[in-house]
Amino acid sequence: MNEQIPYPTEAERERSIRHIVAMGVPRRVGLWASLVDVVRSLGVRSLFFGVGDCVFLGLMTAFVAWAPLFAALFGAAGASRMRAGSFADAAASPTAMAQMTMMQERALWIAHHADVLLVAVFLVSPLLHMAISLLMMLREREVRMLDLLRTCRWSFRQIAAIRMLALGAMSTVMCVAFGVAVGVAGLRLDAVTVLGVSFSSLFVFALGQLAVERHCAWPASALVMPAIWLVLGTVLWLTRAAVAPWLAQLPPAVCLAVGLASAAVYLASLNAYCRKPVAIA
Amino acid sequence: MLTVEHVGKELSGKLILHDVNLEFERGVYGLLAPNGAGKTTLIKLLATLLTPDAGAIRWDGEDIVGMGERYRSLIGYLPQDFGYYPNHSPRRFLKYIATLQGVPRDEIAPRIDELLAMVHLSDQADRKMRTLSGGMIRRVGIAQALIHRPRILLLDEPTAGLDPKERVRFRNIVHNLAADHIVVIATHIVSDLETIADRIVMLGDATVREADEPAAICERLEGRIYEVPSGYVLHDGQLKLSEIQRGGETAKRIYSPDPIPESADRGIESVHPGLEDAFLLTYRD
Repeated sequence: MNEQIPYPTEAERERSIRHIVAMGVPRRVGLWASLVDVVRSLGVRSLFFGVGDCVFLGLMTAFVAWAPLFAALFGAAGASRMRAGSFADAAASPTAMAQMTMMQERALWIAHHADVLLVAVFLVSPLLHMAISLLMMLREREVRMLDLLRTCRWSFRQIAAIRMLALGAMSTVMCVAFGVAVGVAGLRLDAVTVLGVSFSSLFVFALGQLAVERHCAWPASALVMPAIWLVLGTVLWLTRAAVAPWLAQLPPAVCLAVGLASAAVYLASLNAYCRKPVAIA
Repeated sequence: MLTVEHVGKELSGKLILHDVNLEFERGVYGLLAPNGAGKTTLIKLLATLLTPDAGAIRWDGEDIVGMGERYRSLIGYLPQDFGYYPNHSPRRFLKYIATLQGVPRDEIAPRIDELLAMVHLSDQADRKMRTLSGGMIRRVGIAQALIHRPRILLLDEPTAGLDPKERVRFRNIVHNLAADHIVVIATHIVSDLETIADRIVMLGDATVREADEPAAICERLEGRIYEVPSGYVLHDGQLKLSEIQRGGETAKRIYSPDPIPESADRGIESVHPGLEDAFLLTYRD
């Protein structure tokens, strides 16, 4: 017996080692890979399966909160147009004249206190995210699905991260819509500042929510951030006379940079959250 | 093979499991213990919902926690408190779970039909789950645990809420699965396991008190279980296990460490020990 044993080549050995390591070390799937997988395999319907009504209710809540801000903007814009136009026409009718005067007064108030809108935007921006994530958490608890979902092949952490990403995207759409509306209304407010404030608020909240979910147990995981936001909102609203001018004076580019940086940190944190192994007690 | 090696777990400062060692191969394993003895904790450890504070659980030598998705794809889990979305039908619910379990799209619909037929829910497949009975919901739970053809089935109190007919049906399902699955059933209902379990694990005082075949457990009590009249006075070491009806009269089923002379006149009769006797003896107050 003097057979030559064919030893593996260096490349074959390296390939085998890589294969063994790949099998032995748990796969860390990042946010973007998860997003692609979710869109391909799960679809949006499965992503929000069983919590569709929570999403709808959250959207309604956000709509109710944003509506007065949009109304204020368009009211101010409309009144400005009226001022430029047909006072003479309205003078013919005393009722129309009274109505127009009232609208104009309101528009003037908004125009003079436009910076207060920044405080309102800061408070309202995370509302959609807050409402939907809170409702979804309550629903998953109510239907007692969490344990089962955590044993599924798809990591529940990945699904939660993609849900948060979707909520962030929906909220961003609202913020951008308001920023555009500010630009269109032609108020004494800078649309870029509005966007910056809105993004900062949204993503700071989202970051806080993510941190709380990672480190706090139920029910703190659901209640801490809304409670903090409620307290912060009350304080900001009570001190709006001082806070609003300060916000309005911030350079728009700085505001936007802070907002975008918050968004970047949020995405990075979400990615890290996604890559962490399954949540275990 | 699934092995539990020197596993310990503490929850809220209370020792739930200590130095637990078990091996699971194909077959049905019954975790039999009273409520609060650590059955659910052990099942949750096997499902990776909890991690051991000490020791490790391994699948073919590999730590299950490190296996992540690869291990989760091997297990089917029915929680004790099985949740569901009341406004969805069993078919939609199963489709959702199948998707989360990574079942290929083209296999989902036939697999759902197959499982609904297996748990006798084909007629109810499109009704909202809130309109189904507790037993039907439980059967949906069993179906979801099987949707991705897992190799390990972890069933926590699977027969809670099932009527006797459904229990028999459940036992038949589990019996059919036993040939090529590891089925771990946590329960305190002895009759659920008596006829189907290949091995019984009794937990108590945070550790394994018994781990053996049902026949072997019963055999150890052979010649020590008696049925006696209700008026029979227990002697040293004898323990009353249960009360039974015998010939229209109430009698006692007792354990006696020493033989008792049988007597038809006095109504003392040696009987074959059952798993329930072993359970009652192990967990006597």
